[in-house]
Amino acid sequence: MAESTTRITARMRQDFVDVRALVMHPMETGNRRDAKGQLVPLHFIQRVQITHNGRVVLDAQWSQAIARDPFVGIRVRGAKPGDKVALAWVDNRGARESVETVVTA
Amino acid sequence: MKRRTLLQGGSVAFALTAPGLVGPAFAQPALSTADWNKAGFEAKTAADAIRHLGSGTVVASRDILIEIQDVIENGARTRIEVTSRIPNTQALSIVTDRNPYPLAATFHFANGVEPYVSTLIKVAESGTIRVIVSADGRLHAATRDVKTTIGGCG
Repeated sequence: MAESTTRITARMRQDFVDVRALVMHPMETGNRRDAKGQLVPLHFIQRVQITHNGRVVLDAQWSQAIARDPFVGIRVRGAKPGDKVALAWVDNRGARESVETVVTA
Repeated sequence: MKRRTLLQGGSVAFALTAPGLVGPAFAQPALSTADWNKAGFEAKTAADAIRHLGSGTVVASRDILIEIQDVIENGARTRIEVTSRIPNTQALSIVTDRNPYPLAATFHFANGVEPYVSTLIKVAESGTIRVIVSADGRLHAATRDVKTTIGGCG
């Protein structure tokens, strides 16, 4: 079975939880040509949601201008070690993934 | 690539996760792209993109902090960190004037998240990066001029 293409960490800092996520995704602009000179079709993540204990804290809309293998980092207040933080994304082809982690001290 | 095929429109219930980093995959209502800001993202000028972010005058603000290299080393992967100190910030958008489609992303904040985001964007060529903050129904903007050596939209 394939490994997840999304990684997420949530670490307690002084007064916020530092959430960082990395997704393996080509984020094709539609302008790039492959080795045969063919245009590579537009392929990018459109929506990203991060939740803290099930409540949405970040709801993002992206374009193809987000870099390949996207990174996103946010800071959540009022969270504590043991809380659940999750991320879900969907791309323009309908591919989707979600992952969950636990806040560490 | 096989992985990508497996994911097409399907369930993520079988997704395995990285040991030590991520808990098991879980069920969550499916994210929809129906409300994606198509008009804004397909706008070809910054001014047009900003028109699709909200109504009213855009006010220049010193309370939006943009951290980005003045001289961008890699336009394909440029780190940008944005912090808004504007009360009741609901959303912030990153607009890259000289990209073919200037609106790069919009981040909506809720439930205790700081109006801060760190991400990596593509910057096609030297020009202006704008951050537009939506707070209490009003739009605020800050800009940074950047130079590129290698563009990022090839």
